[in-house]
Amino acid sequence: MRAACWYGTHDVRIAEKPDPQILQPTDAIIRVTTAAICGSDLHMYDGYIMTMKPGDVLGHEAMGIVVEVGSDVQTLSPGDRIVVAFPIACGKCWYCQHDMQSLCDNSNPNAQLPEKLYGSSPAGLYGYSHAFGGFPGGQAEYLRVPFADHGHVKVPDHLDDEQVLFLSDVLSTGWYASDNADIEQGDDVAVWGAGPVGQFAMLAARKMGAGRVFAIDHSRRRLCMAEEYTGATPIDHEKHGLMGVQRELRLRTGGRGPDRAIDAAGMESTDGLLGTYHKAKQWMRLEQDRPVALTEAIMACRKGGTVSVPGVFTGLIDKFPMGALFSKGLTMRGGQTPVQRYADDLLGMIDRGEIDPTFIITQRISLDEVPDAYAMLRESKDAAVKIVVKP
Amino acid sequence: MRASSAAHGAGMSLRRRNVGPTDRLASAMLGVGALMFLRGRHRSLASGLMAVAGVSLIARAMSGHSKIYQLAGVSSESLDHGAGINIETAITIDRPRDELYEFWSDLRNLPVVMHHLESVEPVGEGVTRWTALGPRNMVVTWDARVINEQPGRFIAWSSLPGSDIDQSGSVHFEDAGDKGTELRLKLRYVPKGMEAGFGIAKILNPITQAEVDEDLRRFKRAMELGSPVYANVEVVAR
Repeated sequence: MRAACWYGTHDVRIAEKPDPQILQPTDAIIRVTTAAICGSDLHMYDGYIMTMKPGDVLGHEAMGIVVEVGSDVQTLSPGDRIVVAFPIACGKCWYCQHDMQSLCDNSNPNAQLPEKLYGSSPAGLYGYSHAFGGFPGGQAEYLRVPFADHGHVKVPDHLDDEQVLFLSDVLSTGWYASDNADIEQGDDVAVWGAGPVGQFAMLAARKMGAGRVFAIDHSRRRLCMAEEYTGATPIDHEKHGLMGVQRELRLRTGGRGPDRAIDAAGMESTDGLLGTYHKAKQWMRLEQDRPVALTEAIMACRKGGTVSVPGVFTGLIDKFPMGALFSKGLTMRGGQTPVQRYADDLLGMIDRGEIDPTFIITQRISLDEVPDAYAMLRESKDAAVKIVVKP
Repeated sequence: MRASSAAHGAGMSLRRRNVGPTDRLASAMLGVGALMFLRGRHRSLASGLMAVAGVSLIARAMSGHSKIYQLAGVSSESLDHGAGINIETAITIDRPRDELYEFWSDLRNLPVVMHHLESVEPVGEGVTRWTALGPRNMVVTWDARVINEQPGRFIAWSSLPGSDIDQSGSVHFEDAGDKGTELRLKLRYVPKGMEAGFGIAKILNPITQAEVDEDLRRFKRAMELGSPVYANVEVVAR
């Protein structure tokens, strides 16, 4: 089969890979009908995620038609149309049984690697380095789905691929982000990063009863999208600069700051002087992750508020405002999304027409165009928001 | 207790090292702390005694020798690296305590879990023969016996006197509510005598904390899933 593979920093190629096989009786294999490139794929593209090996298949947002199932798969048969949940979950361990599938105890065969970094290992992930299992990803013609009974959302025929694809990650992650933020009726919510996750976090915040929602980004295109589809108030980071965003948020929230702050930018946030400082340190390998948006979120959040972190972090950060977190009595939550927890509810909302996640799509491309698409997404946040791939 | 042959050679047999690295660091910190505390204070009997204590703590940290330990016939050296391999690990497995105990209580099952063991076979009268395989297929064998056991709770075993290696271990099982069972494993390998000890340390080289951690993770997956987890074809082929 053909697949988009990582060969090094800023080096993604379409390569011929062996077709996936059923390796365990709990596996299924799908023919990928639609996949997507995620902002977090850029972390590998930019070389910030260690333990990638040349030839690794990328992608953790995919859906398709089941072509083969292992002998122990109970809930799927060939011909079923499924969206694949990006965290691989065994379905048996305590975490899976408590709806924390992204923290599965058993699905990462290389658990000893994250254990050294984090103390214990989260779930295995598709196409996300060997530290997270070394599972081939979904930007390919075929994808093996391990523990298939516990890692899919079956979708009805009357819904298009594009309507349901984002259940795999970004839609569910947006919902998880707002859920983690403990949003209460009338709350002011500020979201850093108006990428796909940020857009859906704003949409979720609305659905959860938020009052004012603020979108913070430096991309005009993304800010306009947030304003149009989620009713968020755009705050242009470029215009306000360092500390300016905090001030702007305070002005718009009676001096308190937003009740809930969501960092949907994560380790690659870059803005301002602080961003340059962290970028230089990251380049010199003195620091792994750049916490610019996170720092700002913590500083801006009102006392006693919640900081939710759907943006990806992988390692250590410097100049973390622990004093602010502590002194203002903030609660902070993060982590990869237990997609399986949210999928059914979200599928219902899509089916009933309550949400239409397709608004984030800006490009539709073939597999051959994937390497260029990575470069484009890296180059400019204005050029694309969400790129879907038709293998 | 390990004696340094270098110390013997230098005619320092009376000042054998008997203070371990952790103890030495702690002594140094306490000693320096005591002296800093005393800086600029009035002289009194108490501060004089404290100064003496501080200086001797620093001295013992630097030399690794404690006269007091020597007179008392003790050493803190083996507390750190011991003369052998000490491994302790714990894991929570989402299965009933009795089921896990059942598996471990038959010591013949241990090589299934622990990769450094080749076999454990009963040889009669409660004695089992253990075989471990090292690099270059070197074989180490010893006999052991269960020395303490509480059904469903714990099993402790130890090699018989006269073995090439002192091996002992224990496994404890405790209920962890809805999380299943907490399993705690201790393994101790002590080589007999210095020279042989080095040889055996080499033979048992593959036994590391990380190895045993991984062994227990495999065991957890076998109990919870009934199989290991494979990422891709290459991993299965390996």
